Amino acid sequence: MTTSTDSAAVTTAAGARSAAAPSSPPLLEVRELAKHYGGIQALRGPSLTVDAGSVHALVGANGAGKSTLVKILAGVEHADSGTVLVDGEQVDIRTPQESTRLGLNFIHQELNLVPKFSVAQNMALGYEGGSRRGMLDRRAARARAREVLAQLGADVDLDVEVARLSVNDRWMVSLGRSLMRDARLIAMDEPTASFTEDEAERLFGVVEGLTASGVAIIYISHRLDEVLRLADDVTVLRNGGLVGTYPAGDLDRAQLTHHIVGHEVHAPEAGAGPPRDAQCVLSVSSLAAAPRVRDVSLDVQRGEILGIAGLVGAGRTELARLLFGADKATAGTMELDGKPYHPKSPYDAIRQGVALIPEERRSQGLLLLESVAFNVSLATEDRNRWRPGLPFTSPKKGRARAADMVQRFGIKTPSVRQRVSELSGGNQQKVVVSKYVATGPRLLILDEPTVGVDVGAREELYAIIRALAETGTAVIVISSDFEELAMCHRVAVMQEGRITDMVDGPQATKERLTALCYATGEAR
Amino acid sequence: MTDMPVNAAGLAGRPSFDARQLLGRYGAIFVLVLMIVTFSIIEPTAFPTKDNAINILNQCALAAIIAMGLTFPLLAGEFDLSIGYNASLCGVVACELMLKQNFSIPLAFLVAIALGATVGLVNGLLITRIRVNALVATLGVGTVVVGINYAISGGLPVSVNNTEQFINLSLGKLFGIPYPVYVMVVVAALLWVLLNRTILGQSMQAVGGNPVAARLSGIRVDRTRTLVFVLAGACAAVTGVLLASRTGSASVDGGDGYMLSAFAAAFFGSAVLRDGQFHIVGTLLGVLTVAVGFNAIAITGINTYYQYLFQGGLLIFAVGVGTLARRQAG
Repeated sequence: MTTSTDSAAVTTAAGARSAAAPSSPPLLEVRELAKHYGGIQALRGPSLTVDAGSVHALVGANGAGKSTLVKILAGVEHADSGTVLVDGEQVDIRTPQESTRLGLNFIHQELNLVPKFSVAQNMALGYEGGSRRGMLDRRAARARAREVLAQLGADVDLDVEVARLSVNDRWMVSLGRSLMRDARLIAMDEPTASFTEDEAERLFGVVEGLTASGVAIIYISHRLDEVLRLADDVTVLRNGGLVGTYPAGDLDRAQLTHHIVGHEVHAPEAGAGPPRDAQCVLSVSSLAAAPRVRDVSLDVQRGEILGIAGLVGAGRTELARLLFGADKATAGTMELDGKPYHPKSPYDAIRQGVALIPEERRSQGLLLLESVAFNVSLATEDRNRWRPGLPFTSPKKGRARAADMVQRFGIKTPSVRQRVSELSGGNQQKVVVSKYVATGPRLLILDEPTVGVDVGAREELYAIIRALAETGTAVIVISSDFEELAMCHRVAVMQEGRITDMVDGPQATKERLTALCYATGEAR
Repeated sequence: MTDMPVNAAGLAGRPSFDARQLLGRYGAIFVLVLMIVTFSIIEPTAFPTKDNAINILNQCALAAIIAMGLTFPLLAGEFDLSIGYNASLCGVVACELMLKQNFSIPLAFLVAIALGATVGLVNGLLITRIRVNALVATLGVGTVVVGINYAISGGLPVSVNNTEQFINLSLGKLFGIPYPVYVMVVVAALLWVLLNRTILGQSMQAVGGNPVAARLSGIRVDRTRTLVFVLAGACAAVTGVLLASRTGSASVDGGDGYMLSAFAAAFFGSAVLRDGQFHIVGTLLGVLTVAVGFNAIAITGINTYYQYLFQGGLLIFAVGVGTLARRQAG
């Protein structure tokens, strides 16, 4: 609709942008939005302004109100009070369609693509330019789709099913669809969460290209380095309120973290570590389940935190599932506390003292429609027995135990009866962690424990992990955020289903691990 | 609008909810109360009497028992299309055993329940072991059950010898209340406790909520899934035998019609009190609401075909209002 006029007005990227801004009203202005869910005030009146052709980063801890703000702009939620202005005119966004019509587009983490449709079909969804009297003009839509993908530098076949694309390509298709709808503003929610570094680089290039053509970007990310590099302005939210909007050039990482958390944070540190003669809890040899896990041997000791680094697809999650009995190994042996260990199911594993905090919090970790109490007790329901030996449970006992865990793990919720879907990501993760820690595991495996978890909650999770290790639990942490592997006593590097390196804690820097993940046989 | 502080005292409290949510949860109960009040005004002599109340409860007992059984597969995210046929088979087998093998009434009843549970077990094993879709598996098993039923009965109603005693199961009264009402109340209490106050019941709810998360939390999902079908089968058997005892003979398709009414009641119940989840009290209210409506239609002498209009309309209305209210409450 208006992309062409915008790009005419904004000739070059950075310089012209700031010069053009004062003469016209900002593309988007948000004034004092407020929204509550039940007893929780999700937004307490933050305001922000986004100019055409700029990147405006939105940062804050989980539960700070970023998602709520974006949902209101997307027409998915309605604000209790406050106003939204587009081009200086007040708008009332009641539906997602209206939001799209205003040129606002959203790329959520869950991408909203139809997996069974082809790339072209997905991109044609909601494409008006190709319709003639309600009939879709396939050829026009295809031509436009090809043009957009070329502009993004995405090498994607238009006829391939979206389900078969990599996460990164899917993301590009999603972005392409926004561009087909003549987006004037695109909000990206944690875009690089599952990207490799190369892919992230490509995205940054795309973002720069978009802003040069006048599109405004709202960039939501927990990765502060990216934020500082890409953004023109950074708006920080905390507990639903505005902390401030800062020019990105005036900030460094430490300051930004300080604004987000409200106090200083440090990189996670490894605790003392297990004594030299510590008992071996789990010992794995030649474990395999083709094609993802080929030949893995490792052991973990009491009180040790073992990291597993690797690229997406290296087989780390699959290995964790084998250790937990969620999938079956086809070869190899495992010993737990010196005894043969062949878990047939997670039920089996948990009873023998192994727990896995799964990768996908919402789909694998939680019953979203159930209460906090229900969720934290799920793996230990038998401890809510009314009387020992009887099969009956006592909800009162369950709630008391849940309230205990809520306190112990610092879960922010108005009540243990609160639906878990209404908690923020960090608090949901704490619910999952407490559910498994309650089983009293001798070996606790955490698969990507801090994805989508804010800095403050991350620190709390690290503290929980360290405390567990200090009391003798063996811990395995799988993470793609290599900085957080600094808390490990040893880090195993996994490549194509094998453990290719083992690095001692102090040497496990982000750079070293990244290099080892990409290293081939000779280079190592 | 107030911000709720997080503290230990607050944690034990209930989260607040708004008017729309209240309508979604309690709307169906409101409809039931409204119906009772209205009919009491229209038919002050015939409707609001003790006898009629007992009559209504007696009429809904059989439907309630089978519907409460069906609630378990539904809440675990499955379907059971075999319950009606299963009920018919169990009624016929109970009568055959009494007629030809001289089984006593309690023994025949127990064997029938075991049979119903076994049919449920077959359903469950097909679904969990061979991974047949529940709709297909229970439809297939249900059809096989019809075949077995015809083979046993030859398609004719099976009458028992000691008719009077058997009929007494349905017509007999204790403190002026017919036995089937007691059976309904006992079954309801047992199932309620099972669902809400046992570890197994929690597992069933968890499997229905998110089977992947349930499995990873150490719940034996397949075992739980199988058991919900066993429960549904056992409840169908109780309804089947009680149905045969009404006339002292079991017809080959007597219980078939209970399947649809059980589904209707359970879905109606899912819109009551809890947000779209199946539960025992809801199903019971569903059966009761339909029974009150049918009773009033019979008393006022309106054409019986209005019963169907009423039942269908009620289902759509209750579930529709519940869904709408939930959606608007966000």
